[in-house]
Amino acid sequence: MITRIAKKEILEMWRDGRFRWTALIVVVLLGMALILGGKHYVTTKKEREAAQNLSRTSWLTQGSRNPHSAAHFGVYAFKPPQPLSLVDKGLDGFTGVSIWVEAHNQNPPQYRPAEDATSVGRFGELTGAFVLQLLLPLLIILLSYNSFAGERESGTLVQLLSTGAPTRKLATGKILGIVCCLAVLLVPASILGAVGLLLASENGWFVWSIPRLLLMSVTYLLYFGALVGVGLTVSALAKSSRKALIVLLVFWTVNCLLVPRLVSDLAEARYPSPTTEEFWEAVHKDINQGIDGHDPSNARSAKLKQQILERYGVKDEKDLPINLNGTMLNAGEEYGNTVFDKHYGEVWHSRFAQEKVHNVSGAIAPFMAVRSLSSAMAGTDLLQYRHFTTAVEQYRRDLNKFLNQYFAEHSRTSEGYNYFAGKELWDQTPGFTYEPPGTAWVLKQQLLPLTVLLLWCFGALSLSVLVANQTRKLN
Amino acid sequence: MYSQIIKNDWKNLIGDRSVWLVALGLALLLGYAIYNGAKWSGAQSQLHQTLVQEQQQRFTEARDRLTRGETKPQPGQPDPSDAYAIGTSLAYAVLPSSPLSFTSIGQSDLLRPTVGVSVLSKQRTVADKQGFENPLVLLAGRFDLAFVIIYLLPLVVLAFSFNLLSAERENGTLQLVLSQPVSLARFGVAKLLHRFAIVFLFVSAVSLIGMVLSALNLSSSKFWSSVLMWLVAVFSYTLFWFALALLVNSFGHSSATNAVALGGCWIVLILVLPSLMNAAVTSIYPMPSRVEEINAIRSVNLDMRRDGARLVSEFYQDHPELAPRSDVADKSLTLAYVTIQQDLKRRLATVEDRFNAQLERQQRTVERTRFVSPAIAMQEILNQIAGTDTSRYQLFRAQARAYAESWDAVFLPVIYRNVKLAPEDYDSIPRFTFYPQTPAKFMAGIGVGFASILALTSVLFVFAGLRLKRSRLLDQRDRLLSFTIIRANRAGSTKTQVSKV
Repeated sequence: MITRIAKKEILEMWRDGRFRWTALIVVVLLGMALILGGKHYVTTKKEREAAQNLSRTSWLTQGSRNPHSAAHFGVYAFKPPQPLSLVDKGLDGFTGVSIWVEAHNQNPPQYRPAEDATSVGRFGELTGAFVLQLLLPLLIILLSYNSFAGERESGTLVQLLSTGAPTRKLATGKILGIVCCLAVLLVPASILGAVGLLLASENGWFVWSIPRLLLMSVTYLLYFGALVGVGLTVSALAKSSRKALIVLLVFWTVNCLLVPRLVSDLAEARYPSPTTEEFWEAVHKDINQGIDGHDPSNARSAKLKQQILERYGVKDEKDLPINLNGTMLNAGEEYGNTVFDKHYGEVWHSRFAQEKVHNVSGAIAPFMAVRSLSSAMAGTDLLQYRHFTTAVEQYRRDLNKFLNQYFAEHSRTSEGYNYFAGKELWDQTPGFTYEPPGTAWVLKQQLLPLTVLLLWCFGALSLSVLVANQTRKLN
Repeated sequence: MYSQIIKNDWKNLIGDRSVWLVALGLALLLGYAIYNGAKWSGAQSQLHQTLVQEQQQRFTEARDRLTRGETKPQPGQPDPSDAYAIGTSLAYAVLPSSPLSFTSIGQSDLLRPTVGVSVLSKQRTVADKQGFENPLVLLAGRFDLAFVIIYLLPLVVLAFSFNLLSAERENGTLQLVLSQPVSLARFGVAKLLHRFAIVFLFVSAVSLIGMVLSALNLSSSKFWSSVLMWLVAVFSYTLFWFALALLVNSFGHSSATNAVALGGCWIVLILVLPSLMNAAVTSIYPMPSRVEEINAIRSVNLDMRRDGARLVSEFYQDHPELAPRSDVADKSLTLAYVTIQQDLKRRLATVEDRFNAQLERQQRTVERTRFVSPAIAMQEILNQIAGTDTSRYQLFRAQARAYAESWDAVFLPVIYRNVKLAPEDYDSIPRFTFYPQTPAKFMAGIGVGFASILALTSVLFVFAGLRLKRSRLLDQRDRLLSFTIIRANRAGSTKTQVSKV
């Protein structure tokens, strides 16, 4: 029974020119998006690897320098793209790609790609995620708005019901029909995507991406399931197919256009981000006057100097077996680290508070949930952005500590900054490598949007089966 | 005749509860968008004004201290006669906001309206340590007036016009209308213009109230001329969508088919084409990799302690006019540092030029092809009116760079000559003034935008007119029916005849 209804649905869709054309356009766009995404991933990956190597080479060949001068010369750390970013660029256009690792300053990532693009980019980039999150839902609306309302208008629903077919089976058959139509489009696209991923990723990155790819597919299936459910429910309850279409288009507009911008602005107003000027003013104030405002930097260094002199039991800093400058620099770094932890902590706190608002709003707009999950699996979300910046900062702190300690231990205070180190020291420092977080860790942070999406999918589908009964009454 | 068509249409519209709901919703969206934009851009311009004022105040204070002879550095206050200390204390060139900046946040949330100016390279100043905006917010885009106009207004227009003629036919009223001495094309256009006037006047009125409430300076002529251009832009854009609806109606399909077709057009013009355009532009003119910039920075493998003495003596050989007045041994590190930073600045500038040139090419391509979608043209126009478009920021950056050079020209000679700043030197510190595009150039740019939307609109009107004249809207039976009615009219006994038919 169910299969027969499904077959009839599929046949009807196929005969409908509107569906054929729309489906074709969506598939072509999806294919283009994946090809462009794949190309972009490959070039970006190569570029950033080259840049990382360049930075390392210039670090190793910087010649003789004072270790602290070397720390100021610094290193650049690049965020390597993850393979699935070819499907979903997520926040990548608006996050910096490189951090300058230097002494004294925890620098924010620089070179946001959107800054080097025209304003047309602000309409949204053509990516797999764009097609799947915005355009495919429209196709689902087109497939489903007519399901019940159309049959009722043409009078075939009466005939169908008169065969004694249970409405639940009827609804299930219709769901199955729509799902099959979608599968005809999505299965080849997914295969294309997987092949692209295989071609684009090397050195075991494909295997590494498989769990993420599977989870991403599940994410989209849940999203489409939710939309099929909503479409059929509306079609079953609406008085006419025209009304069903209008209600569904309004739903799409609210889901994909209104809620994302509204929620983003409301969240930003509630948990504002600092401006660059505010941020650095606060950082410099805390470093100069102390975090509590009563511990100015010159008092801090005088105290530290006294402690060191006492520790070594000498009166004059020139008699110290170490270079006081190195020790002072280290203390400065350590104090700076607590200041940066405080201020960057606030920045991230506000960002994640905003993200939480976004995720909660998934309850009214499943788009918000799918966007969050999809970009998390692609490695282009806020959390993995922070994961990268945290890794770079850890590297910066280790590097500075190592250089300052080396400086302190291998020279005397009387030499001041005129002590020079050479290649053998640079060789001892590790290069920057970045290990992206595991899938389980990422998924654990995405439980809220995942739950929201599950609820949407099963809620909407069950509702559509339940309200199918309603059509009998409306008839 | 026209007045009757319009009167009748007006009655139909005000009798429809959903029309009132849509109007209320639209008014709320417009109001919130203006409020939201004004709040954001108000806070921004406040911040930047404070920045400029504080900077001015710092210089005035330093000059006063110098005149009084107080040259001892204090915490947070460097020695006012020390050219290095003053020349490296960050100053800002600030892009002033336009009177209608709140109507379209455009690129202003991404591109910075401040450029740090210092004797040192941007790498050594806060200018290269920015980007604290939440990327989630940048990705989502702002809920501003431009968003409501570009994305949502067309939906409202389509809701008012998708069944402009199809509904009349489906209700059977079309035959009655056509029995009157009016052609189908004229009837369609009259109804369309009536609805267009309602939507346009409503949107303009609500937006005008919002703009007047949010404006900082109502007496500025720039404000009113911007408002006027904004109205022309919205007029053209609204008319385009009505023209599109008329064309789709002229094919004579059912209201449901029209709705789907128009929805499809909306998606293609507003979502698909811009994203395709972006993909095309970035593939034709790909940005050079930012690696090159880092390459340039890295290529200056100079160290002030190691290479300083050599660099400084080389510099003085090249610039004998800047030969120091006194022994510079105690300043050698500072001088070396400044020399290295200046070298870095020049290298960064050449890389920056390549990026700017490529962005310029992308921008030109977008401008030349914006007629493919009125949404692209409209976005550009609204950003230009609000002063938040990419080109204005490019112009600003170029002027800020020239300003930075004039800044260096004040401080570098004093630093290299190893002399002290005199109070008069403070008077020669330039102030940054932004020179916008000339009005003629600005109008030419925006005019092409208007022209591309209006050209598209006229093409649609012509096609719609031609189709309606051939009138496939009415099938044979309809024609016969209206013919009968017309004859009956002539016979002078309309009522009885129609009821018989």
